Amino acid sequence: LAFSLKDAKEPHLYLIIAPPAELRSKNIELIRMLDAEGYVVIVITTNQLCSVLTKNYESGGIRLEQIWFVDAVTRYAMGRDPPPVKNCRFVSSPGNLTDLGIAVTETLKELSGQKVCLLFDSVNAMLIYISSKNITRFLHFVTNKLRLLNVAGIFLAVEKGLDPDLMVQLITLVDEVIDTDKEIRKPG
Amino acid sequence: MEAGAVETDAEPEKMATLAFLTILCVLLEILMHYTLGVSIGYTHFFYVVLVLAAIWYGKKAVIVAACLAVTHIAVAYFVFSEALWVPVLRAVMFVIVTLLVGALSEEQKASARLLEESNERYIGYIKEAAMRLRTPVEVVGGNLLALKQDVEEKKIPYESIAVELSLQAKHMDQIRVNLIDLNMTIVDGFGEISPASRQFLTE
Repeated sequence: LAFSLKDAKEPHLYLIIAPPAELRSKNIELIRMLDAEGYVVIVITTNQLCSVLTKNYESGGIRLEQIWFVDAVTRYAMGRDPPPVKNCRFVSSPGNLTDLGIAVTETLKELSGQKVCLLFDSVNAMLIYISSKNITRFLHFVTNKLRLLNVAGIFLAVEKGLDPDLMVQLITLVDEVIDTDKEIRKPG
Repeated sequence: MEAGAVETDAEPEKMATLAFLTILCVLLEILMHYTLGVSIGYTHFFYVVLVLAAIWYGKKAVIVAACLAVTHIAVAYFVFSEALWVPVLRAVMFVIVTLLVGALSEEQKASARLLEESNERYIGYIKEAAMRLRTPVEVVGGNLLALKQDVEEKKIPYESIAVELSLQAKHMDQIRVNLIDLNMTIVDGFGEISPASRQFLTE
């Protein structure tokens, strides 16, 4: 992935578009890059289980102490409260935007004063549970929060699965859009 | 724009056409009525102008009707040196016909606008529904392939496999709910669907 958060003078918000088959590997690549740059990363996962991500990161040689999770799928999949996991907040379902928002806010508060980057994986998976209108509203809330707190943010998405109108809305929320497939960078 | 309102965009071609035809009517009035003393026949041409104005500008076209009506009555007064009821009756008809066609035109435009808005909403809904079906199916397909790879490479803990499969099943169930939601909208939009088909699509 040919970009670095070091380039940005201020914490930036990025929309990273990847082919569906590469979304998972991009997640690991990004985490590795952010870890190397000394970021504490908050991973909001709406598609992959926290336990699976943890395994993937471990096998990718990433320091797990630097990774915090807001996991919206494990509790939902299990149908009960999972055993507590360090640095992880479980949300009842990916469609519960109120709890998701609270979990993000609490995690950001807990990490205040540190060099933080939020990684949202992924916009496409959210569409199973939420309308595009509500996704835009939620991401607007998250991006506003990140800007207020001076925190960097990366939103992962698969372009082909998104309606052009939704794509335009997402682009307006971020500072830069990076299409990893076409190696294109453009301002948001 | 509010429903029932008439387009107010400046349309130079229409304005020019109307101005030209109105001037032509006034010239006819002067030539036929004032100069030649003919007071019937030519006024039929006025309706072309009035109907066009009413179609384009709705009830606002009554301004043109009023101008032609006043001109017609005034010329009749100058020609005959007395107020006659026939020119007045013609002038009143100019106004009535213009108001009638104007009202119908406004109604038709409002209906067209409503239909257009309804189509836009319907297309928007279909686009959203298509995205919320296609994308999730791709997401689940990708997840299952990734899970298969993880299992083959023994990269996933055994207990996580069950949770992962359960998650994909829940994703699929939600996709089914989204599909039913789409079907319900389609069923509501088409009244002639049989009860059995309606039940099949929405349950």
